[in-house]
Amino acid sequence: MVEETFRSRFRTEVDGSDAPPGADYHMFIGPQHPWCEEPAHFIIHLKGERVVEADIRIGFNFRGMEKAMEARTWRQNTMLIPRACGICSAVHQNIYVRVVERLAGIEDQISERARLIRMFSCEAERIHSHMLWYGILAHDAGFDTMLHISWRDREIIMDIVEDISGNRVNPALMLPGGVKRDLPKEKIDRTRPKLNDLIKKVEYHKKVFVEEASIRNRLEDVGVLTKNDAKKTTPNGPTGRASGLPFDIRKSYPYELYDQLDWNLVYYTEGDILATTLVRLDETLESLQMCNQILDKLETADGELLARVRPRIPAGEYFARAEAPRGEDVHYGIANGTDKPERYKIRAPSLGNIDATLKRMDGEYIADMPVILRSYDPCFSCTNRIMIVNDTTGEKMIIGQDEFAHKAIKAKKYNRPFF
Amino acid sequence: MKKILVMTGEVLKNQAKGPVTKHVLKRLEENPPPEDIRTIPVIIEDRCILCGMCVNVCPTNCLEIEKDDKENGMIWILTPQCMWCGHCQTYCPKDAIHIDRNPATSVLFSYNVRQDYAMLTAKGSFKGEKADKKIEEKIAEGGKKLEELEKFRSGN
Repeated sequence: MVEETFRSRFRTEVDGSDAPPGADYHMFIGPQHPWCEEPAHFIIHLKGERVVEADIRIGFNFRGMEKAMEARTWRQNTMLIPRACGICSAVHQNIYVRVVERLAGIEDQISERARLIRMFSCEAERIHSHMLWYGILAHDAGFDTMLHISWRDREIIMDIVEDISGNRVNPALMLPGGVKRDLPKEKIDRTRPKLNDLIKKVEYHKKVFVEEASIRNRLEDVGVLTKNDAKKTTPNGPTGRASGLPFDIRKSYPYELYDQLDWNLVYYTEGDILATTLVRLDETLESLQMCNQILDKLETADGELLARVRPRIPAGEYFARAEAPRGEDVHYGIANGTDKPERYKIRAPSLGNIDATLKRMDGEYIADMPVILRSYDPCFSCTNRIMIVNDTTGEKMIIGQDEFAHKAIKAKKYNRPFF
Repeated sequence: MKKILVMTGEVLKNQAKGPVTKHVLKRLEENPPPEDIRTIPVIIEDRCILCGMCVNVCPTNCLEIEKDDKENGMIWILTPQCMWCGHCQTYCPKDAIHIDRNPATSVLFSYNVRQDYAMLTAKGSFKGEKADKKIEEKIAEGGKKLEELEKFRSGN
């Protein structure tokens, strides 16, 4: 097989002087633009109405979170880490507590009940994230009725999350060693009819996306990412699953108690935006079904909710991952024997999906851009990692993970400033 | 023909129905805040032993402590900096922290990040004059910083 070489997508000249050959118009979208809820800068090179190549610049929402974590203790960071992302906060906290538990060596002391409550929190989050996404997708395609329908029904799952945790989007139920709060029987009884109600509503949403011609024509055969392209650009999560890469962390490397539940892996092979939508719709139904199973199990499961974790974590390192609503989320923590982390690294799923989405745009109409850009559920608050600006020359530099780790370790070792 | 009949039926049904949307204040009455809502902490004075655990685990460092021994000391809070996570309640060894669940008093917060200090607990010799003096000091300190910022903004 002949290896196809990809040109570097990250071009440096802003005036378009190194644009791809054949392009006659250059369109700049963002970082402040009515389409963008999140700051990203897209550069789209056009030939007439067709896209020749697209480019992205990120780094407008850098918050220095990983460095801030090194200054706080492991216990304080439990409440900082859910703020990494606006909407998938529970899954970030889940991976973090698993890293801490493994480093502290109390992984086997976590009770079944605590694990089930954690799973319920993660699945509820997946449901509301997916419902939010297909509402906004319909809005971008010009079908605002669907936006209102899906966001109205999303309130049902938001009410459930609020009922079990006290907060709407940031449940923060998990702690190293277990969970903070129990899910008592009255709340389970209150939750069940709501979930069954929501299943019927999501089935109706699916019917709308499959049967309604006005939305289907905007999504079908648009932005096709074939399986071969998907293998080269390595998307993860629902973006990959729509292109025939049946890969889900919950199935392939089960964490918590996902291997004890009865559920199907959803994947499509078409690779267009409609397939991405259907993956998410089917996954919502699958998650709702899993939530019902978890509630059944919670009635009999018992055990201590919280195991004791000492504030000082013994030296070691651990790499954990989980399936966030957008894809594979990876955390890597290094402990040095004190109560603070030596280094903590987060890789959020959106970063892995950017290249595949840029590949999707090649040869498409400019009118389809909003839908394609939305397809991977962009989230830049958790994607942006580091940017260094030289204050004398104004030069900007984005450094990678290895380089950063190298610099951080050297700075600590020789007790000198980081830059 | 059938389609037209269905559409007419829908139209008539929608005409007969009342408005779907409700007034915001009416909705608030119907949907009270959840029973597990987390807001700012309140310390029960009799139980507190001034161990400083809440100060150590606070992710935003909004709590501060000053003490002589178990009986004499005080803890104060910078209210706008608190992100209502409830971490202090979880880790308190004596169950002395209770999270305020009355939204009427605690949801009304301010953005004055430099001056809104409040005393959570003051015990023994720190009670009364000393506690009041500390809070006044802190508020004056914040006021100075605000003045500096104002100068910087106006360019003088």
